[in-house]
Amino acid sequence: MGGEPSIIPSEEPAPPPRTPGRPRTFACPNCGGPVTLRAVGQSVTATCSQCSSLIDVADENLSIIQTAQSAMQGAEIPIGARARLKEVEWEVVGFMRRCDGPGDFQWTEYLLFNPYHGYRFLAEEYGHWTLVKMLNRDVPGAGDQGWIDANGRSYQFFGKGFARTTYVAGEFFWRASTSDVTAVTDYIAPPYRLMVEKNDEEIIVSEGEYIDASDVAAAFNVHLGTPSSAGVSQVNPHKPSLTIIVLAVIAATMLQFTSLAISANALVNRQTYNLTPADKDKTLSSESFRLEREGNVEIDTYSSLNNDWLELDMALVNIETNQSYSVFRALEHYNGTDSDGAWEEGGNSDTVLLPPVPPGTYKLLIDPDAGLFSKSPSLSASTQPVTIAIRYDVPIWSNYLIAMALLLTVPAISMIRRMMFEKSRWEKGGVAE
Amino acid sequence: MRKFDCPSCGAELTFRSAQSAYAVCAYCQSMVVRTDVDVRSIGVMAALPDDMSPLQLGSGGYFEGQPFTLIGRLKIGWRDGLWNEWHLLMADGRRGWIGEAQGSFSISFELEGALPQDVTQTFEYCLPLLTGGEGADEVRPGFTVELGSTTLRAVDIKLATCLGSEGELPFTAPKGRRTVAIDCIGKEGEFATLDHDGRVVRAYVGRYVEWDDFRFSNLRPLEGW
Repeated sequence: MGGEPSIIPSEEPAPPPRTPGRPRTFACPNCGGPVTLRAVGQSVTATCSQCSSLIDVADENLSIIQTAQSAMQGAEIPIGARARLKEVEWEVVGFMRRCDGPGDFQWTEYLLFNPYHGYRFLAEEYGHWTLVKMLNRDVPGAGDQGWIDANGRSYQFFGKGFARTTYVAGEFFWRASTSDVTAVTDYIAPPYRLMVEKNDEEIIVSEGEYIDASDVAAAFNVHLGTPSSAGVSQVNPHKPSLTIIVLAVIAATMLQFTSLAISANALVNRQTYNLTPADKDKTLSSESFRLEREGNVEIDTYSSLNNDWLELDMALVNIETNQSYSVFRALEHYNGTDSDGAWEEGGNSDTVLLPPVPPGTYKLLIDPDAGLFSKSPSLSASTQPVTIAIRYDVPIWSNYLIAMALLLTVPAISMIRRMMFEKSRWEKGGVAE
Repeated sequence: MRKFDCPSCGAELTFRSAQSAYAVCAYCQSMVVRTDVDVRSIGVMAALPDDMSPLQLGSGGYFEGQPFTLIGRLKIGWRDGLWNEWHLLMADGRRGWIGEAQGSFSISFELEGALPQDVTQTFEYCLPLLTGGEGADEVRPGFTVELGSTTLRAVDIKLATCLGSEGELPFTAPKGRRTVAIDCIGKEGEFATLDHDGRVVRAYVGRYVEWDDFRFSNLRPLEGW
């Protein structure tokens, strides 16, 4: 035989086979209890099932990272349980509890292992389940853009925050610990979600797909709690999330009507100023008025303008403290006729809302400028009446309307989600409910 | 394919590829170097740390329709774990690597010829990690690397140590050899790993492949699976 590259002939004696792979057991260096390693060679940390100590299994030394974590916690699906999900058999090798930055929102992530297919995460949040796979793909813009294309799907930004790990049990292929904090950005394309996790050393993009809780329960042969509507479940295609919306709509409406009822909505000053060319560069002052409690201030301006303009540089001044709140308004009103017919631009009135000011005695100071001032007095001896009304503690509708619009978007998205869910259900075999 | 007797234990030692310069005797773990006509032992490799990998020397598979055989393996360790680099021989004589890490499989082939400028720049940036030089603390993944016509993103920068090897390898891989290894991924699953041991720079390019697509055969039995 020559030295040329050659493909191995079939009669070639095979190298001695490796000894079969098997899970490894060792004694916990803290309590001596048995620890089973299922993903030998991949797992870096493992916890003792007896004393919950976190053990470094990256090398033979088996050093303790953290003795006995706080109280032992169980999980709905036990470590070692197996199930067929998406046509592959998976074994639960670990789970961790995680929460968002403030700790308001909590979820559980199970680590699933198959020696051929690698790892998956099975995330559970308030009874909703997602099977998650690391993408091994670059997703440009991930974590920075409002929408991204990944794995053939168009994802919309959903949220951004931190994920803190509060409890770990079982074995992990990274140095899992209860001090882990990663920045997470979530995108959704229901029933899929995309998670971008970043720390100093790695950028990991994973994609999850919603799984029905009853399918998870059947696959693992365990009893699982029914999905709750509390909390965010980005890709939950079910109706229960609508109850929250309905409640929010009712609450916001009640809040709005309450605020309408308790708003003073009082007219505190209304004056008409007859501007003449002599008022140029003068400062006009309203009579003083009293604001009895803290509240916003609305200034309504009216002036009948005929192809003319008006600019008001105003300051709401607290005459007790000299605190001043300035506001500039411009009015213009033009009309005429051209080849397209009659046209009109601008208007005769204007409304502006100032943020809440403290109670006190106030005056409105007005520095006017007007088209009138630049005309020669001989041409126009006329006056320009301007009426300025000041209201305080005015009820605001805009916040309520924005809240309504946002709240009602959710049922709309939910409907789309549901449609996509139904579509994917039919694609997977058309099983009718 | 060439057969020799292991200079250490006398067992039959096969060099399946003409380019293999080194082999580890399957029976006595001697690291054997091949000179023109003869072989000599250059030391004994320790047994490799065990794992649950379903692959073994002699496992066969397919890539882009062409069969390959696994002929060697490096076991690599870093601060937070271990992984396997399986050396493979394609039917057409090309040799490549299957990286088996965290349950994912990548296949890559060494880039021939002059290295792209981005590779050189990447190493200028990352080498302080290996040498402990200035700037080691500032090395972060996330930058892009142009390799030929594809743009990849560096997602993972590790200080790697060779923990041992088995089978045939194209270079000597002494236990303890340290490298800075930079893994890069592309939008369509392209994969590259850049590797620098302080003297020699190597760039390997390929892609991530799903387990089923390799159509592996002659796998190692795994208890319970």
